[in-house]
Amino acid sequence: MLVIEHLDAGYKNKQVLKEINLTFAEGGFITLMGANGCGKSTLLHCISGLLTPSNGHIQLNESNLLAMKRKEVAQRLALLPQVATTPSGLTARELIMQGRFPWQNWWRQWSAADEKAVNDAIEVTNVGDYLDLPLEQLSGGQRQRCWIAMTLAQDTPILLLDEPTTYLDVSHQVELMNLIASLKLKGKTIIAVLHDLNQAATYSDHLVMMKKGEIYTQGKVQDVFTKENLKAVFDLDANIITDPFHGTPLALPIVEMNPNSTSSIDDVAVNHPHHER
Amino acid sequence: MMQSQRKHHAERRFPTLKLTGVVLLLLAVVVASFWHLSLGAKSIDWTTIWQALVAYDPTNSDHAIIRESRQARLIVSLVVGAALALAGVIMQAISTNPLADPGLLGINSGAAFFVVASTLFLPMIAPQYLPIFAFLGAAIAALIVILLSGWEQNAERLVLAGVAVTAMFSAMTAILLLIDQQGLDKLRHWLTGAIGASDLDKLHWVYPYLLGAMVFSFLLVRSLNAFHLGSRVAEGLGVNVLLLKITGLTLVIMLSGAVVAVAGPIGFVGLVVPHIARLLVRNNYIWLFLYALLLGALLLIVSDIAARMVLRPYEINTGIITAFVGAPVFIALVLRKMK
Repeated sequence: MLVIEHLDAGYKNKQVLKEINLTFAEGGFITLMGANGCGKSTLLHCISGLLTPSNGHIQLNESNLLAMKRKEVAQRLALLPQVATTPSGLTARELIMQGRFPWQNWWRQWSAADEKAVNDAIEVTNVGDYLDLPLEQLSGGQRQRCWIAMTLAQDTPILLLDEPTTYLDVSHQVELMNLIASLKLKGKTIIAVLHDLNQAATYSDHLVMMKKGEIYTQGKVQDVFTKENLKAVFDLDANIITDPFHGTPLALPIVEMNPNSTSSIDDVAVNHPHHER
Repeated sequence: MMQSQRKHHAERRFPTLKLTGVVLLLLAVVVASFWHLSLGAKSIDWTTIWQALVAYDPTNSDHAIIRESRQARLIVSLVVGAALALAGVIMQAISTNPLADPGLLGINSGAAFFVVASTLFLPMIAPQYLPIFAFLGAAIAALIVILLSGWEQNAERLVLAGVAVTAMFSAMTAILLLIDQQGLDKLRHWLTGAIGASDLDKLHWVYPYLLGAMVFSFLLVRSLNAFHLGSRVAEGLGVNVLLLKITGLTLVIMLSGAVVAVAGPIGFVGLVVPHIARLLVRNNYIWLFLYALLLGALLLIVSDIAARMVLRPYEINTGIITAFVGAPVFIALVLRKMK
């Protein structure tokens, strides 16, 4: 269980997070959402130890995360930051092997446990076909799979993912989200920042909506992903319908093109039985 | 699949190709060293050199030339080249900037200014304290560059700040030399990077620092490998990035300061060699370090040979030769970056 209490954080002259209180149970897929600059990434950075909060407490099970050494934190939480650049001169395998960094030191080099963690990560992410190719030669989707594999090789119970699908084609986004959702079944707790509303609603178990550095609301997707909350958090006018295949809510932004198109969206929404709540 | 995985497993344990490269480079360094020793007013054949090294006979004049005079110049070239190249690899790694080089970033000229100033103003200070002034100058120059470019530097700003600091310290050194004309004669040669003017005594003052810094560099290898993935990724993996950068910068200051104290500000070795090393081994700093040490030594020996061959019987300063090699590489890197 990950407990965040009274957390304040920010950069030099700008406070970003104010009085954050959150509790995450073990397992499941949690998504942090909110408009740009609301502090989602900052919160991820605080949890993973990249940013020291000015105030507050973060507790993971019995231990105080803020008092831990960096490597100890990295043995419990794996962070995949927003990666814009590809490290040069590395093959996919060499990247994935770096995930073992927190488990190694000068007197304990590459071990059987390291080998196993890397092979497991390779198998789960299905990157076996291009392990020995340089990262520069891979597609964006393949490369992102390798990054996920690296965080998996870190062998932590919790994964923190900062907009893992940015810069990817639609089909690759779906592939990657399916992969990430499947990790949940392996007992991982996934805490992700996603900017695609419908991806968040489809894949998450729990949503945390943030606004201006504070938690606006949080809860189960069905309870939180509402027209009113989307308006308040994103200033977005959208209708909510239910995905007929997955039963999860979907947001359809109201398009102001011509009267016919808006009314047809309303028709769909109103005609759908699940919408009446 | 299993088979290929096993193969790679084996490959990781026995990096045959990379080791072969190290052996070949080592051979090249040995050959270049013999060539270096054979050159001079009197050319001496390789058999005699070998005998002078393994079975020294002080009464033999050829042996005496090798051991008393030429050997010192060779050792200085080897050590200076290796140290500068290593400083370049570390500098480029911690600044994530392919243009970073202790010479271009003003660190060498800062050290040089402090050495000149201390020899002119504090002549009573024993020369073995010279390296301390070199370290101080290198550190101050590095701090000014960092302050000017900001800690999270972008590449262009860092290089511009380096150019400005280099110009400032060079100008200050020039002023000092104008004030003291006799000092000018004594120091002018040294200031363009003169292996010939240096001697083993100077190396004795600095070798504890150089050796210490070289050995310590290898402790940073794993963190540098993680840092290569990006600052945030490295922090997520448990690297203390700030500590890594400070340690790396300290090593660079020690390596370049020591080199400047011995041989003057020799530029571009730290820029060129890391790029060649990266072409050969792509990644993993343990190999990059080994290759850079050997390539740096090789480059400096060959440059020192060229310095004496090009305008025979005159001798050019070695620093001028490395600049001739390095400047085109620098221009090529800048052009590639602008594309």
